[in-house]
Amino acid sequence: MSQSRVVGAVEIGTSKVTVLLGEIVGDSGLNIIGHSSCFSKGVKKGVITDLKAASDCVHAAIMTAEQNAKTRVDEVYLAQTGSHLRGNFNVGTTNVGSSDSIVRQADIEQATEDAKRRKLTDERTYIHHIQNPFSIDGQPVENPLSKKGERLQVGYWSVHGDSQIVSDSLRVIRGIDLDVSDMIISSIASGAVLLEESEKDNGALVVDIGGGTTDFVLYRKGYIVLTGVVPVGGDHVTNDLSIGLRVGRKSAEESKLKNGRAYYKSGDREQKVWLYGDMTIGDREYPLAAITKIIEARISEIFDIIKDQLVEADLLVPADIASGIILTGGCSRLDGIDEAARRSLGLEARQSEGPQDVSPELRVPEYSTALGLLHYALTGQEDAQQSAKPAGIWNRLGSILNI
Amino acid sequence: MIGSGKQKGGTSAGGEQSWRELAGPRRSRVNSPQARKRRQSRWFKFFAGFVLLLVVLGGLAWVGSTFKNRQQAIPMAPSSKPIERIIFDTDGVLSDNWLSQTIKLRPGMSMMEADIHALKKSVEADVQVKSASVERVFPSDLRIRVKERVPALRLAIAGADGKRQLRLVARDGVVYDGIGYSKARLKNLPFVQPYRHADGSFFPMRGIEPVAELLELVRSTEPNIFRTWQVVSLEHYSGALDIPGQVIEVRSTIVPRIIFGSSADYGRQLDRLTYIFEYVRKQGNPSIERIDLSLRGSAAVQFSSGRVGTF
Repeated sequence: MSQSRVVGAVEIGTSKVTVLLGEIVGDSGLNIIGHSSCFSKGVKKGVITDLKAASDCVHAAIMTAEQNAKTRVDEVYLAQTGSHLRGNFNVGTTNVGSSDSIVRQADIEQATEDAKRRKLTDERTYIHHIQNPFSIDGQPVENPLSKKGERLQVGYWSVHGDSQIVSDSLRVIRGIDLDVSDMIISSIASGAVLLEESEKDNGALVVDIGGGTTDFVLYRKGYIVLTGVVPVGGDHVTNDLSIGLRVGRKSAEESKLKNGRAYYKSGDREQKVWLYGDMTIGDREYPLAAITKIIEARISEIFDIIKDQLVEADLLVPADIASGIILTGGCSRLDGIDEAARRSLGLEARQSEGPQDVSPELRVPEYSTALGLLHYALTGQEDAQQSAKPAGIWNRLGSILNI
Repeated sequence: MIGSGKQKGGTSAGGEQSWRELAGPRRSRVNSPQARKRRQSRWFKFFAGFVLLLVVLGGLAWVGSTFKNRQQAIPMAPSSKPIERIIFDTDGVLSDNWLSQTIKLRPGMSMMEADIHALKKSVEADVQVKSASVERVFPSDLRIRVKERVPALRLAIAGADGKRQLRLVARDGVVYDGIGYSKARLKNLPFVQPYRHADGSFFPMRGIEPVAELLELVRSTEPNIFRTWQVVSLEHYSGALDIPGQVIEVRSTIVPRIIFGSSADYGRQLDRLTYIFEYVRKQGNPSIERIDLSLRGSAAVQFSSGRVGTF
């Protein structure tokens, strides 16, 4: 009889807290058994600014999901986002130690340790060390073990964040007596579940446009070579519309969803749209251009920032990103956003389609990060050096007794 | 289920300066009403589970104990604990020594091996014992309760060897050897001159019960008179109370013959006797040969001088 464990995927977003519960059966598959989401409180641009309010919100979402699933969560996989996240590419190098120039495990470990050796300041903490291909004497190799060469190199894309901000998000989860088994940045989580292996090999840019931030991850030849966070998201678009149209945020959000498009077309000037569309007092007509121009400006800004970062890293090579841009996150539902991405980045773009093997209600962009967390719960992160405490009877008892 | 393809290249941030080092003390966690509710629910479930576990364990222990006891009850019966003590209760004078000689228990005999019915029978075989009960007091005691006959009279008979032998007569007429009585007690008992049946035998002795009542009445109310009584003659008392004219004759150290009517009221007769003694004492204690209290209207006193008085 195979054992099962219940894992929770928690994404504390700027506009929404999303919780998915999955039951991992053995080590082969995962069933989604519960989910919930609620409007976020105490979070700005992906960063927890009010610990108490955020805790209330997150705890309520977790308990609702538990009630839906009629079970309790054993462990949590937590998404991390926010402009505090930074990345560095570090290269580790070692001379092959043996006289016969055959790469041994010790050489590999030496190279990887060298790549991860870079010290951060005390205020920073590592979230990921993402391994890139090894190379022996400058030639990329998939697995260097037992290969012949003099000089072994490996690159790591290391993602780190502000220690206090990361700690705050951990405290929120621990406040409900749950431990965080792993922390994954939102873009990597989304990419893990949205991309096929072939798409990763061909190169792809996953852009997750959330409420307060836009996370992106660039895959090249199957490896993550760049991640980033743009502190602009769908809420900024709504805010711009609210100011530009001089309406409330709620009306601006409705107008964005109903009439919005991510880019401006020449015909938008003549086309009129109703603000509310229900002919109530106060409802009025606007030229569509008033809406699309505002949205285009903000969406273009997001993509331009991403473009700048790609260019800066010398990674905006269309041939290396053959699978194009995959757009996800709540704001990716915006009409024409793929065209806007195409125009800005010069790459093919498409709106994501959620995994086919989940229920339709979860096959929406808003859940891609949480689904990606569950994917990691199932597959794990390779090279994990520390794992959660073994769930022995004493640990479980300790957990129950809250000691 | 969602896919299981792995990320190419590791992404873990284990090691130095990893987020995993940001554990922090537990007390720094942020509480919320939901968290408290969840914690309380967890405690409640833990407590309920603990109670349930105790109940189950208690139940199992009870079932196990019951099963064990049942197991013991059947096959262990013959090999139960040996008898360690015999509790002997008697309302009479029989001693533990008498009991040990009367019942023969094999050393190390177990409680269940002892045949309590046979033991009762052997105890009751001694006619001094009126009734007996034997019971097992687990785990290792045997209790024997005995009700003894109470002697009312002494009987002196000639044995086969011609020697005088002493017997006791109980209230129910049973004659027995009498074991364990003190000499003082026996000395206070008058001898009986039994009724001789048509075949010349003394036994069975009938009607001793009314005689014993008379003796008890005198002993308790007029002990000075009782102490003078030496022989109770039943020569004219067959014990058949429906036959008129039967008398109980007492021979005392003061008056050779005091005759009580068997069917009359002993109390009234005793009152007359005491009156006569009082009268005689006032008259200077003239010697009396016979007092007949069995007469209906009055008592007749025959003095040694030959004078007869009625009272």
